[in-house]
Amino acid sequence: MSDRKLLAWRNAGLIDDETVAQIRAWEDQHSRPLAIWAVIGIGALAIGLGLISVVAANWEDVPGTVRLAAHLTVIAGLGMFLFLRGESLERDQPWGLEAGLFVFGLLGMTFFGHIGQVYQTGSPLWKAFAAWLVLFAPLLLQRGQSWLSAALVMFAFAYACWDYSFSFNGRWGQPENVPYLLIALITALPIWLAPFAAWMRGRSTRESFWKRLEQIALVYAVAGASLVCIAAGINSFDSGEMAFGSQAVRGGAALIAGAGVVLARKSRSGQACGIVLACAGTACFVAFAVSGSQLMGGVLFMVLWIGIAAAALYAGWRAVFQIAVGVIALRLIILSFELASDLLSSGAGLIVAGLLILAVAWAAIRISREYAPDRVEAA
Amino acid sequence: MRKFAALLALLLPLAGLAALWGWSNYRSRQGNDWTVPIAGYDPRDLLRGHYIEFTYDWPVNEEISEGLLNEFCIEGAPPAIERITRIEGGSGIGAGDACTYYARADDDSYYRYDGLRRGRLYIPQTRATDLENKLRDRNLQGYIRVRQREDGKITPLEITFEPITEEQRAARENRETGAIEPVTPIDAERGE
Repeated sequence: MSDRKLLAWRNAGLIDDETVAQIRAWEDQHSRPLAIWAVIGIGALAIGLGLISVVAANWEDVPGTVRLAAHLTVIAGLGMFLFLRGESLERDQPWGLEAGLFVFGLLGMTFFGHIGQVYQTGSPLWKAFAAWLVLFAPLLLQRGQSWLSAALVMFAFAYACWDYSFSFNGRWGQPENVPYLLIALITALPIWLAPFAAWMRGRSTRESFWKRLEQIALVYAVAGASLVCIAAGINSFDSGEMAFGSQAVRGGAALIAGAGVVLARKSRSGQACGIVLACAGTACFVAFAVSGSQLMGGVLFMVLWIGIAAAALYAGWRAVFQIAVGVIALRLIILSFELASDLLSSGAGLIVAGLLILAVAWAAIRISREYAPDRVEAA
Repeated sequence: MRKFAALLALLLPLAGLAALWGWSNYRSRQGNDWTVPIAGYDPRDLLRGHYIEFTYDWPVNEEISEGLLNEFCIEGAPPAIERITRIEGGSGIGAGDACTYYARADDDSYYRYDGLRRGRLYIPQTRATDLENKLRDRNLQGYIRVRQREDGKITPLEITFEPITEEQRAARENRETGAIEPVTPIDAERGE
């Protein structure tokens, strides 16, 4: 507790002398002996680091079987703890359970690498991540509390999809033999976590977990659509992974996901989520039509984000609206430089560029202040 | 019911990891061990831990070109390789029936189609300097002990060194005559 703040508040007439004395007395009683805790903490940290470095220094001398057994024992021990104490943790300290699940998942991931080291085997990462998903996703989906578990599942899923898609390069040799439609479908799969999570949201006691999973899937879709728009401004989509078929698969996947979310979650927020996914899907189709034009690529990108801003207004998502306005402003500034590349080469051009940036920034701030939905008070 | 589902969800990863371990252990014991001379290396792969990287120096005969080593038969008695030969009219998995000891590049492995030409071995950090020096020593010849499984998969197991024989030295000098000695990545890094 800062004494300076306390005095400032008293001098400003916000609180009286008696309150100051009461606050001080309460703080004295409830203050934790920070210094002692700090010393204990440093001591524990030193012992922990020492143990780790002793183990690490002799790691190679420990036979592989013993190492793997120790690794599996730690996983089993943590699993037992989660089984016995999981429910009381979920009630009293959901973050404790979340951290436990996260560490459990990571220990499982590293076990795959550990086996590879001991037996000198190497397989593509997507196989390891896919196997991990089969083994660990049921637990995380069943017990996950918040975004840490949700992000871990999404990361493994998205990584497995992308690594699998990349494995087609080289295996097929010739570009014309690469199954681009399949690749587009596989890399679009993570979007479908959104309707799944939206559906589970109304049927689970762990609303916060499914909400986070839905949000992360939404971010995946929007990020993907934004990249497609950027690519449309660079090259014409006439072959390979950007051809019409691939864009149709991507766009279709996002449109289906959007419809799914709207059906699964009948609320303004669910509808807005559907709108965002529909915008992302439509952007893929339009991107094919306008690809190759720098201007149209930029415009499409901004239209996509205007759609997101509109959805945010509709649902009352304040932060999303402000982010969308910021992204549009940034794209507008970049677009102006793309279109008039000589702006930076003369003094007058620099002044114009500076004024333009200030104007766009000013407008963006005004819009996001004026029109942003009100903050929702946290319950 | 909820308790049962929770138990099941926790047992699944444990059982799965244990099974994976058991399977890896079982598969690692299958097959024949061979000793293959090596040439060239790149001892560190920062992305995937500490590996020693090498090029196999298979005893190639004329009918098999070194550029395309996708699959072949190993002839000899383990661990001594007499020579490697091309598989007559065969390609792909299953062609291994044609020979006693079949080897193929594993498409799923790190080097994919190049897996019979190049390989890598995980090594302890403490041995890295020693191994590096030995690989540089032109009086030593490095060998990799590999395990060749029935289905043709080659897994490197161990690296050893022996003094170079006159025959090997002559063959190397023959190779290097008239050609600029290739600069290995580690040499370039150190500006040697």
